[in-house]
Amino acid sequence: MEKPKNPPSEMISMTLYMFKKDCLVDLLTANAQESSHEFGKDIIPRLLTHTKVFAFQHHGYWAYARTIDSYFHTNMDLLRGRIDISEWQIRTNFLERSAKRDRLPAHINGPVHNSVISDECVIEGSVSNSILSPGVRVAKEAEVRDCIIFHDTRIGRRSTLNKVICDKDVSIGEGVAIGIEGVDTPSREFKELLNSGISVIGRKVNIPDNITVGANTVIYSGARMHGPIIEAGSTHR
Amino acid sequence: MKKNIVALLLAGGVGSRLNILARHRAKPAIVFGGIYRIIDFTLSNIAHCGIEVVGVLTQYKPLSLMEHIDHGRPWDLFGRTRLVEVLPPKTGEASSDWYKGTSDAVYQNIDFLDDYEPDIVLIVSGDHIYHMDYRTVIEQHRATSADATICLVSVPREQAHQFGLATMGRKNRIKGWVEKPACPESNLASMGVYVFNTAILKKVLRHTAQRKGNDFARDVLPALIRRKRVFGFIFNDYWRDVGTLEAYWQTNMDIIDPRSGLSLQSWYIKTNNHEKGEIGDRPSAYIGPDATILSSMISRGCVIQGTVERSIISPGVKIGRGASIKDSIIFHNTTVANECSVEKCIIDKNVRIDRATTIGTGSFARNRRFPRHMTKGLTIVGKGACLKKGLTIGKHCIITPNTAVQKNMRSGTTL
Repeated sequence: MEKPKNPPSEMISMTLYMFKKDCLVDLLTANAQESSHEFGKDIIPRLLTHTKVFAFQHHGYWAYARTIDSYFHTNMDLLRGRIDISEWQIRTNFLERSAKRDRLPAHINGPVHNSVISDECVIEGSVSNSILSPGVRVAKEAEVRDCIIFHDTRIGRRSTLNKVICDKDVSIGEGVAIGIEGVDTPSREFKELLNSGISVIGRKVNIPDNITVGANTVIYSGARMHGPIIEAGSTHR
Repeated sequence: MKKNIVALLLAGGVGSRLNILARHRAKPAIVFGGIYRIIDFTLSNIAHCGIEVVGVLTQYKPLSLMEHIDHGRPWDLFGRTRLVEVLPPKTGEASSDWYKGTSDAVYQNIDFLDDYEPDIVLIVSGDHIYHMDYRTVIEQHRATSADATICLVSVPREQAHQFGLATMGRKNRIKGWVEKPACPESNLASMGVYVFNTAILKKVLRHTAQRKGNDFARDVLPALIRRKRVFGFIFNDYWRDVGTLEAYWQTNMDIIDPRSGLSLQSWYIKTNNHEKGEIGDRPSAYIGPDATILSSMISRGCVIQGTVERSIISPGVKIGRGASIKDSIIFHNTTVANECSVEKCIIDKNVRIDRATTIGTGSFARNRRFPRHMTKGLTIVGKGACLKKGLTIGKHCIITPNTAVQKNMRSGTTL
């Protein structure tokens, strides 16, 4: 059953399948005549009636990152020791186009607790329960709590961020507060998706000094903000 | 293939004053600033000023260096027309074919220069920490119609006796030259960066070789200054020779001192981050709930649960709960267990320090075997050493590579 209202089982598909090649080709060829083309909805049910299908049970960690909430919590699993990147031997591509040099080690000179700190971060303020990508700067007296901050974002003095997911190259001025007010005010536009106090800030957004941004807020890349207070649950494009 | 400029990087130094750090590797291959090797600074300088052919003259334990250089790939000096070539001595015929000195190393590679017919040869030492645009030197070299240009930097008077010193006349023409004099009359020290007109260089090398001279500073430069147009280029920025343990330690500490003039942020240093045998890439550093970090550099793959102050930590280092690291430099994959205390130490790769061991405490008694190597309280721990739990290790101690330390060590002892 695909996404039933009253689930008869707790065993969910990891969307990880292995097929005999000929069997898969037959199924896909047949399915090509139909109007819907989803593995979960169209291919797998047909498979069950025609062929021998077995399940493989995975007992280790597996998590989704398809909503803001699940993305946030899956990231935070890095800090709970549930995801061990070293143990998993994950490879990535560190190459950055047109980089004139390699990123330096992180420079830490402030209280950092239970956090992931990447290369070239410069931490003068305080960071707790957060995941910082390379090149993030946290100025003196700034406070970053329960946040996910992407590459090269800068956070100015005396600014406080709570449960913020911040994309790359965001510039946050001095004395800014994000995600502290209105934690229980859900997003008006994304009521179901954004109601747990997380705020999302798009790439290259520039937040001027002394602005207060409520929780469950979305600020799109290129958005303009008016006035010193941005209401909780609002969306800006 | 014709190139206007070819660079030769002298990387053969034994580095005996760097003691056990140079036991397994050539001096330019020693780790610096957490993720770099000393040679990265000169190699990056060369790459950034558009020089496309670099010969690296090696001799002593070149393996680690060759791996690191990886044919020039990390510096984008790789391809048909851009290259870094490692030039070891052409041995096999006789042991006397080993490089006898810095100028002999260049003399034995004249055929490498001839392949590219350069007008100018830039010669640099691979064991100094600085950021320099060599194009400014080459510009002056051309403007003054010099035969050779020697780069000079002011050093403190009390250190001047460790360097080759120049005195200059009108328009920066070099009049006098003394190599490591007992009573220095100048504090303009040679940076080990020379620009030569190729024809002159070849001639003077042949000449010195016939007279059995084989050192640039001692044999080549004095002869050249007497007969040719040799000018000084004055460099006014940060430059350090890291040939001693104390200079090496201090220069590392300069990275975290914003007033030092050593600014990795603006120096554009490239390195080779590839590590042999690592299947996955190193994750970002993890800082634990009870950690305290002040004024320190922390690299990829570190797990810090204790306290780190004024220290430079290379990738993959683990610092346990309640442990305290101060004023120290720790190389890759070393583990410091819970409740250890480490003060003013240089700890090489893959060292294991078991629980509640204290290093770098006690009197300032000089090391008995190397009394001149350390005077300010440093202690050094060699690659792969293993320290048992609950030990106390003094200052000025030397723990040689792959040693298992079972007993306490008083200040000034070597194991």
